[in-house]
Amino acid sequence: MTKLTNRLTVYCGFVVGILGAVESRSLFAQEPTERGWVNVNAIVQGTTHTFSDRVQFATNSEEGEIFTEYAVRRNVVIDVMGGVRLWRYIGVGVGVMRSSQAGVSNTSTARVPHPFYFRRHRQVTGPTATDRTDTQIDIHGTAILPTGRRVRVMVFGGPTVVQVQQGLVTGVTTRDSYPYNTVTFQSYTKQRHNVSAIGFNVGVDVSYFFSDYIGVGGLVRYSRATVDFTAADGDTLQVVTGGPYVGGGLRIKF
Amino acid sequence: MVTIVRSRLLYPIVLCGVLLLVSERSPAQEPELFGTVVPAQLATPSTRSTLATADIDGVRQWDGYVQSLIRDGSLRLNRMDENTVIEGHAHERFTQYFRGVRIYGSGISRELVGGLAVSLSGIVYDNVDVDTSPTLSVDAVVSRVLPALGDDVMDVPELIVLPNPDDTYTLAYLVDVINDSEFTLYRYVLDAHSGDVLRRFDAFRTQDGKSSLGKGTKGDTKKLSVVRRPTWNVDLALDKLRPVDGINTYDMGFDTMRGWDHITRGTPFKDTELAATPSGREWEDAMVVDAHAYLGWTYDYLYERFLRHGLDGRDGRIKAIVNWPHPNMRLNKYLGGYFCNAFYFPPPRNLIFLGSGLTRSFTDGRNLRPCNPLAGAFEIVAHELVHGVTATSSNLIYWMESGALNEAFSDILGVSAEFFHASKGSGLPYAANYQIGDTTWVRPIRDMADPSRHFDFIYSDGSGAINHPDHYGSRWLPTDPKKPADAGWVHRNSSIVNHAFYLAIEGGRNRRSNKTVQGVGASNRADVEYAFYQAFTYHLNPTSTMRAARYWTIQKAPTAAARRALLAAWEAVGVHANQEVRVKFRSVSKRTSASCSLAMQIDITTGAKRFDVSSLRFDLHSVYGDARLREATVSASRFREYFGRSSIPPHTTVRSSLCWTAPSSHVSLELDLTGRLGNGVNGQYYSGRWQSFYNR
Repeated sequence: MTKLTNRLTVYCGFVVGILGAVESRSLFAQEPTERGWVNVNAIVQGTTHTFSDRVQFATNSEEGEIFTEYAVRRNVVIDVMGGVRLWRYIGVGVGVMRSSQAGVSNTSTARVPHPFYFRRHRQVTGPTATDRTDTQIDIHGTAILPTGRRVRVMVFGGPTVVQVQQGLVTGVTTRDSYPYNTVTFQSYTKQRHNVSAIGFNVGVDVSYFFSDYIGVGGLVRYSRATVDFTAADGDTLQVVTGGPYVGGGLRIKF
Repeated sequence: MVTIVRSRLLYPIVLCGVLLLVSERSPAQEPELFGTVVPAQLATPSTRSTLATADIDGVRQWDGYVQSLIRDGSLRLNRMDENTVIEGHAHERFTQYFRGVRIYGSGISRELVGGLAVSLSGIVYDNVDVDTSPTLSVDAVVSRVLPALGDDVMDVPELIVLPNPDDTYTLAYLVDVINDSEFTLYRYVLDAHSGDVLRRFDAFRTQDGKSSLGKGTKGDTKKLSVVRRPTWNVDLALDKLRPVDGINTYDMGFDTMRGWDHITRGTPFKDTELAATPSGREWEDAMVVDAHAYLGWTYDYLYERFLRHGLDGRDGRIKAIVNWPHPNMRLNKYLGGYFCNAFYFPPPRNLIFLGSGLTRSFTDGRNLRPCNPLAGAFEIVAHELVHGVTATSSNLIYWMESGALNEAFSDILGVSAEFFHASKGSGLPYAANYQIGDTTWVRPIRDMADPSRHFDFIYSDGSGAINHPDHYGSRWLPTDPKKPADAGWVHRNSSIVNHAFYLAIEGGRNRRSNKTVQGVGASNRADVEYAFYQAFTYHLNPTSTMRAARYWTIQKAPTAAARRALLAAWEAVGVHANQEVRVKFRSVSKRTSASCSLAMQIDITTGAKRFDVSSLRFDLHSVYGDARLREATVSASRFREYFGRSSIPPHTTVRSSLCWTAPSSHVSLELDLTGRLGNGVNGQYYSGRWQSFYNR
């Protein structure tokens, strides 16, 4: 809890700082008129996250291992943000984004000990498909920077709650026969992990309104969180999630 | 037999007697003629046909003859194997029978491709003339050998036709006799009419280990293929992971009589006799660990190198016993020798035994040398298992030259298996080398690189060194041809073949011939191993000689470089292609006469070609340490004087009786005959080494 509290304190302080800066600048600008807004975006994650896992296992009186590389690739997802203006240029909002990917891992490589000899592992690579679902809830303070009647710029930031459901390979089944110099891949087992973490997000949204209510816009956002998985052999696997996002879509204000 | 000196020879004897006084200082003194020269006599042409051909014309010619013998039932097929390495090649093994009685040592190996013969090797006996009706019945033989020679016979005595060296034949019985009180097991060949012992040799294929000081257990950890028996809550030393019908390691629990019954009477083993340890627990008996693991390693070597399925090529069960006999037998005259020894017991037992070793504290004060457990040396375990390969393929008789080949093949594959696993990083706890038993005794018992550098030691203080031959001319001859020690020095004469194998791989120079060999190099050792494996498992036969081994290893060399290396190696060790002139000690005896302390009768027999003698060299060595005491070369003219003629017609034997002085009582003597055959080819022929003393 201490870690979580510290992170929240840092992120909230960061947001308050931004809002304070905007507020001091806004003394010289026209005040926005909307009470609230909804942004619906199609966004692309800007980076591919990779991580790997080594699972140790014991067989034939020796230790073997399964090595799996996971890659969370760029993905287009729908992101919905909404918020209300509280006072003058300052508001609060919340955004929800959900991303699902299949084939986060494609193959695993197993090193299986030889039944008769030490340090003569047989290596085999086989298909081990896993999937992943990221659900990200961004809570942010927003500064609305009016730059004209039709254009609106919003700067936002705040804590992010991330929930990651990730399948991890826990074992493989191989088959071998004398002289046991090779093994063939038979099947694999995986375990679905469901973990949450707190991170942060910051971003800028630029909108152009065709009318008083409807417009289009684009955003750039950066969010980051680190989740911890407990791997099959008991080790902790730290995985970074988030990153830069770029997207655009419909803008509604009221 | 010594004959009376004729008066016309007195003058040269007196003259030479004077010269002998000088010879104490001059090492170049000729032996003296003291007996009669037997006029050249026509030797009876051999009644045996030795086949060794891969030449198409030769094969066609011989195969017609072989086919006729198959048709009339003289040759019977006893085994057929597919060549595991050369696809489409099959090998048939035939045994020859005469009127339904097996001819001992006969055998033909025929290589087939698509049903056509492409090579033939072996021996068939022509014009066999022997009455096959024994005077003694089987029961009479058993009652004759029991209890005179032992307590029990292993199997029913087999009636055989025994070919004699002089090309005559004797009807005989072959019988293995167990002596429980002395713990001996000898194979006897008995005359089927008189019951006389014609031959006796040890029925075990032994390691012939000599005790010496060595390090203890290597302390390495090995993986074992075992079977869990949940109902007993134990793991058993039974290998079921390999395709073999079990590699079974039995723990005799130092029960002397139980082991003895298994070995000699074939008492079936029970699973309760398998070595065992509580389920899941590490094995603590180092003997069991090493024996069980190394048997598996040997199986793997044979499979991975030659695709051979185990000891018999058919994945038959492999059995080994350890922890036998009881330690209180360490001073037993016979069993005491097995603490520092190992053996393979041939079919139907197919059993390997590995001795428990002798501690230094036990041997102190006794004329014994300590040794580590035999199972701790991988090349020794592999050596014993390869005896099983031989027994189920060429079946080289454990006797004289074929016995030396039998031993050599075990050494060669034993060492090769060691190099194979060392290169694979299998966890061999010591460096692979060309020595046998170097981790078991303080000195190796055989060294392929330089056989003469390593010795047998007669005495525990290291004195009485007997060197091993590295040349065919130095091969040891038996002191008693009927009951030769070490079956005709099979463990020593094997060093000639071992050295040829070494030279073909590593190259080098042979000490005696001074010939240099360009080896194929260690990285190509598989080529030489392949040639030996093919030759020894598919082409050699029960009575094959080193000359046959030379022929077939060169024939089967897979590359031109290997062929060149093998040719040079065999030449360097004195195993030449042409060995048709025989130089033989008919008799040698020691005398007390100062001028004639060594009396000998020498026979020289030609083959199909005339032979013109150039020289006959006499070489006298000390038995211990092999120091040269004296040498002499007899020219053609002196040869004529001694033997009556120096140009010897085909199929003729000349004989002479000579004497020489020996400065020591423990001497060995070799003869080296050079000359030219009738076809103009130069030839060099060796008598082998006669020794005046030392009987194991």
